[in-house]
Amino acid sequence: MFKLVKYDLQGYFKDFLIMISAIVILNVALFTRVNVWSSGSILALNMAIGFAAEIIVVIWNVKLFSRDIREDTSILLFTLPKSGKNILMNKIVTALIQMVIVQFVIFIFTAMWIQIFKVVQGGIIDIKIPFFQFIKSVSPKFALFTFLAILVIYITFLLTIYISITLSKVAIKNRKFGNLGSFAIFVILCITQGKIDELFSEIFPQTFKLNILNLDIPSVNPNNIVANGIDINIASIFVSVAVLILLFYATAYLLENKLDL
Amino acid sequence: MEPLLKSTDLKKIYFRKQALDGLNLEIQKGKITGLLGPNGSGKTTFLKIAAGILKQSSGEILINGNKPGTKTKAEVSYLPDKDYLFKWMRIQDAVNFFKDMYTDFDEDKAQDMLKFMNLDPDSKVKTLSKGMSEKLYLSLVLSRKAKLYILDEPLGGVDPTTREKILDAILENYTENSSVLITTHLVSDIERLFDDVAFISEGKIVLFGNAEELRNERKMSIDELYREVFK
Repeated sequence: MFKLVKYDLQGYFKDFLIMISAIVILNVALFTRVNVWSSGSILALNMAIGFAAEIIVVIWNVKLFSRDIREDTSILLFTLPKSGKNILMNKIVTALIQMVIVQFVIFIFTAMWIQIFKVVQGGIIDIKIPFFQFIKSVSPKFALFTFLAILVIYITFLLTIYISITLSKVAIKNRKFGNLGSFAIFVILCITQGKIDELFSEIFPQTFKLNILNLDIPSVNPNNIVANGIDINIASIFVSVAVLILLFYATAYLLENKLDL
Repeated sequence: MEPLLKSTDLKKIYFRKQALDGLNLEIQKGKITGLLGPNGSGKTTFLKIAAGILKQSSGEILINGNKPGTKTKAEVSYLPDKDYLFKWMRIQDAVNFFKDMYTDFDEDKAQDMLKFMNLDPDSKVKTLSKGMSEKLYLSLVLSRKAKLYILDEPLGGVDPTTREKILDAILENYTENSSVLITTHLVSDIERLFDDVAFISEGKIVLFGNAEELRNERKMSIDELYREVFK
């Protein structure tokens, strides 16, 4: 089922090593600045390193698919006895593995810095406890919901890009205009998804409350979402999942039945 | 006998250009068929449709009774005229890839063919010359126990010695249970292989027949016939 993942990951092995080494080296370099620079500056730089790494991984995730649509390797991929669904699933799994590994490394360093400076105060998370104590006190329901939400949002984002690339390849033969076409389709699809979500949330405004923490933690702000939980729109969840499924099947169908190489 | 490949009134239109214009062709089991024609006659378009990577505008093509798709891709071994392997691969990676992806891939045969072609499994794909790449692609494609081998210009850009090796490899690895469809410009080099030949011009088959019968009827070689048809 996921044999293609192995080869897609293998193709990025060197890039991966370079990326992980760069994150480690830059963070180790930041250790030499402790007590020289302010903790805020060091945290900000750590986050900037993480952000840059995430951007690169997103580019890899896009190239992973676009390469096999627009370059000669497309022949290797699409002469395989594999369905459009299988090929697409392999690409998504590879993209997620790439993202998870890099996110894990970024998380380790960010958590370490926060723990070192014990700066879990101010900003969005308005509490005064060490980082790992905060993590331990997060409710399992919230952790699971957040994980699934991030997964659905990122896969939908990838699928929106992938279907844009596929549609432009199906409709526009010229590569230069094809890239421009992909971007235009992507923008239109993003706006459409936003409008659909907005529409359903207005028609079905029902929500449920999701508590973030298990513990009572003193908050500076009484309206803080950490203390009071967040309201989740039920219709919005259904729309998000439906859009993901629709994008997946539409892209798989186009790959299998409409793509000309 | 039911043909392995049957194309009926196959048409393909690219925007304003008609690449295939009602192509009719049948390839019988156990035969090597040459698809011969000048540049732009529709050879590659037809092969791509048969390989399942291009969709026809109209008409029908059946391979072993099925429309091109996931099922036929398991039965068709396609050699394109492009460098289609991942650039990061070594030859051994390419062999492993084919082994993982195709259930009919014979790894032992692939290793034998690599030796026969003097290819080092540790060589990087991107460092291979045109001739070596051709030999690698052919080794991979012929190491499958496919029902239909589709070879697009297998001799393009290779020297005469390599050509002979490639032709020998095709002959040695082809069995009576499989069919081969080959396109080429180098008709004189390859015509000894053909059981049948189909001449294609402007997206249509203009002449089709048994190679030996055509030679006897026309009192000329297939190469001479090619020059006669496309003069």
